[in-house]
Amino acid sequence: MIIEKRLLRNLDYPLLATVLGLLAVGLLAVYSATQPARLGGPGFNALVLRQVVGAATGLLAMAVMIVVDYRVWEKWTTPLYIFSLLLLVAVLVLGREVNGSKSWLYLGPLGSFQPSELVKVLVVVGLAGMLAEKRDLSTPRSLVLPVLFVAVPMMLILLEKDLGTALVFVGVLLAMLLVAGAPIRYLLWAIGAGVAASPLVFFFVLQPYQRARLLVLFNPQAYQLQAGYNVVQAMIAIGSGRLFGKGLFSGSQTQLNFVPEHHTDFIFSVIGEEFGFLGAAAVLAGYFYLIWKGIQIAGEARDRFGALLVVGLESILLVHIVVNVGMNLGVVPVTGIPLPFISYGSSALVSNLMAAGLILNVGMRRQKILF
Amino acid sequence: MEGKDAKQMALGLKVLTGLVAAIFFLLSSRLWYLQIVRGEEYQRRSVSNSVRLLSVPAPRGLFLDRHGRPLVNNRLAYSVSVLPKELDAMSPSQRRQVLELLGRLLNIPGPRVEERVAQARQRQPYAPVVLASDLDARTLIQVEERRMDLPGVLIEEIPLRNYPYGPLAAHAFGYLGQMSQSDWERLKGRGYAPSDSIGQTGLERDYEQYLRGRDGGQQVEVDNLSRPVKVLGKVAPVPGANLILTLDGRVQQAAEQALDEQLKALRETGCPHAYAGAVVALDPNTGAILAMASRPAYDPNKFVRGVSAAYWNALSANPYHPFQNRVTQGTYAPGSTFKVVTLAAALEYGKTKPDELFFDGGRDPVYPQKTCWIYPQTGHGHGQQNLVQALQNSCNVVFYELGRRVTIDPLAEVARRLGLGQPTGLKLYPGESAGIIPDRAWKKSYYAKSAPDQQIWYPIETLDVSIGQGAVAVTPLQLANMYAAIANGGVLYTPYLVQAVQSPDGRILESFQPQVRRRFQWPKEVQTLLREGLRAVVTEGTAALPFRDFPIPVAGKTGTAEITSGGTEVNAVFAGFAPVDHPQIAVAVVIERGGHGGSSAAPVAKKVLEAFFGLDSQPPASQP
Repeated sequence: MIIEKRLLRNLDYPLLATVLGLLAVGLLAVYSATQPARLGGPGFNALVLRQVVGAATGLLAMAVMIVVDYRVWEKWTTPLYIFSLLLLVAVLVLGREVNGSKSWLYLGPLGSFQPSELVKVLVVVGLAGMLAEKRDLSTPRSLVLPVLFVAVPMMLILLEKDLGTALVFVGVLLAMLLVAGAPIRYLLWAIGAGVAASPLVFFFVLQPYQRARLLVLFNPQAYQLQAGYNVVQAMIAIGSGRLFGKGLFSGSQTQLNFVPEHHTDFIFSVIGEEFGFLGAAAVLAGYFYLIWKGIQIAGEARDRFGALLVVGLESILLVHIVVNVGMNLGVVPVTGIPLPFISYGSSALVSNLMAAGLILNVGMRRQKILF
Repeated sequence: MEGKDAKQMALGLKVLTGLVAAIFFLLSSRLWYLQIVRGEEYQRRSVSNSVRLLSVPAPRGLFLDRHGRPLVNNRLAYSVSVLPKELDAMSPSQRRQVLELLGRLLNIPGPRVEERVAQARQRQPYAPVVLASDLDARTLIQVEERRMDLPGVLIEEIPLRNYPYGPLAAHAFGYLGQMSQSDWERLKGRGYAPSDSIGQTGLERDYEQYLRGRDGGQQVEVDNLSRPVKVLGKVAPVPGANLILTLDGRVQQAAEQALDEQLKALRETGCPHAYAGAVVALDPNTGAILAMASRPAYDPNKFVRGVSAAYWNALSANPYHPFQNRVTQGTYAPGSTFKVVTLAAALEYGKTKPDELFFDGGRDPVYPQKTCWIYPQTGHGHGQQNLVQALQNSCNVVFYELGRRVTIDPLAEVARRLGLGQPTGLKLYPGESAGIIPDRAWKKSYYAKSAPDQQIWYPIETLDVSIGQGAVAVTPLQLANMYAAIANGGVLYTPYLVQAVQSPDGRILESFQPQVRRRFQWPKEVQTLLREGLRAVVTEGTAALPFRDFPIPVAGKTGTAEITSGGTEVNAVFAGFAPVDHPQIAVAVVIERGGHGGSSAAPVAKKVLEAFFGLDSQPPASQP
């Protein structure tokens, strides 16, 4: 497929640069976080190499997503949705359990793959397609179908015991319904019902370790050797970075493994410790720009599908950022979801770069092409 | 997009924008709070997270034998300690969990762990508390695997005392044990940590100050599992000083082995209670102890990391008292080995002449109830005997006569001059027994509370003393030392075990010279007669059988000493030296309830001499 030069002129280069910048910061942070504990100087290792391969694959996918007119996908929403569900069922049947979650498919020599990452994007595409056609969302009945549409894959992911990813769907659904025109009061009711049900969920649905993770937030020090260990160590890491940080490869919390999972879920603490407030705030600023710019693109999108697509994708990113950074800062319970473009993990990286490509695509085609 | 849609969408997007702005504002504020407002505090915590001051224990000084062969050394072991400061940072329930898990892994009951931590903290509040000092590989792996659940727990590599030959010379070497509260009060401020072990007995105790060395320290960066990652600063430990002993490892091993084998053989052949004995060998020209063995013994290795209750109870319950060093603390009737004293006294006091002839009719002419040992077997005595023959045949009747002529007080005086009945002066914990050389004064004071007629010395008692029975009691060390003095012609040395204390870099810190305790001028003829007699014992007399064909001329005397008068079990004794003319070694052997001196004790002495003169075919024992 050939792309018109004019379209490229419309490409949002600052946004693209932000994504690439975050990607670069991520590679650097993963590189630092995967140093073997103070043995010799920095060296490449298999993890960094895999992350680089993941980034390259993701950039390729992003390029494809930029080039192919996003409106193509509107016609494919049903097959894509069914494909998503099949993937999730396949995981449940064939997947292997890692760290308590059964969310991985092993593809032999190609390595492993976390379908839920891709499914997030595909469900957003499908829901955008559905809501783009469904213009009247003013009655509760009209909301049933969209809710079900999201609930089915969400349930499957819950069966994988991947609570964090499942919760992303809630955020995505609320954001997309809001922008698609569902009355705000319905959404507030939904949120209110959720809050009201939370005690029940807390005591009857959550596993003990999940309850502990919630309690940690109120008094991390009291739990610092158990459920609160990660959070306290991450807070020490970030706090001790102060204004300028300790420098690359010099974060004692990171390099000496005090912060667990520091190349995946707790990568933000590496940034905070080694790059300081300046570095961490810059990353936050980058994310804010990404989301804010995304909302602008949604506002300028040439059609309803494009706008909803961008909102959905942006809300995926937003929920990940908020939950992940919040958990590193000790204000959100620990759930294992990665920081977009930065955390180690190829599936998420590829999916997020695809999402970025789609957002850029919608932005690029905001106007009818003038000949 | 058309009007209504666009309007609705714009509203939604506006709400969304507001939400996003609020969220990012909150996150940035939190970031500011952690890094800027509380940054200093977190920085401090990250440093205390990762920097530890650890003590590096100094290896204890080695024990080297006279040829420089290590008899006691150190090995590397893994210890587990808890850092009390980190326990304090935990909530009570976490603390309990950590200590319980640790107790389970180390097989110490949870409350005991708490107890030990509390105990150690009274002494040094911040020092790591050692809970196990010698992990086996399996436990080490188990603890390593649970590191995540064991914050504040430290695994260190430490040098641990090692006795490669097990019970070899255990009584001389002694054993280590954890400091008691009073030890701690005494040693506080001298570089000890509360959980340190110190020498409890033997040379380990006597030379504690030399052996101990000085612990070093290091500031290390540790990772989340308290594993040292990088050493930031280090003060190297100074190893303890080595003891160069007078012991000869080969002779020592031969003595122990011979004693063990003989005890076992005796138990199987009619001496069911032969479990205890002592062997001591020394250099008659210096008093240097070449070998010192006592049975039953213990394995000092079992005390290094705290003795187990089972082992301790077994030792305590053993009726033969394994902790007793029979060489210095066991007192025995010397039996016929004492006859040299009677003979020397008679000659010295002019009560006999070297060429006098005696007649043994089997019974003492004055006290016919006193018989020669041969009488019950044959019904007659040794017949005509000169002094050499009397010694050779251990003829009691001749010595009864000599004793009667000398009388008790001069006899006791000579015995004491030869070092009997008093400590030899060997520096070794625990102290020596004095033994008993009875005389009139002794009897009077010993029976001071009894009826007056029991305080009187009766002449018949002198007869018992003159053959080394009655109240006479000497230690094997006294016996060997006396024979050494006879061997060297009249110099009584103070026995010693340590030649020198040597710093790890080879400097001699203190050296010990032979110390003459007493010299006595014996006329040449007395010396000659004694040597001739003792030589005859080995060539033709009571010790002839075990020393048949022995290539080095040995002199010595057997003894078969009654334990209680009229009892059936007897102690076997042998004392002697070799070579006769230029003696290089004196040896004494006592086997409790071991039967006859010639058949039970002399063979052990022979093995010791074989090892000393390199006559044993066995190659030098290899390091276990």
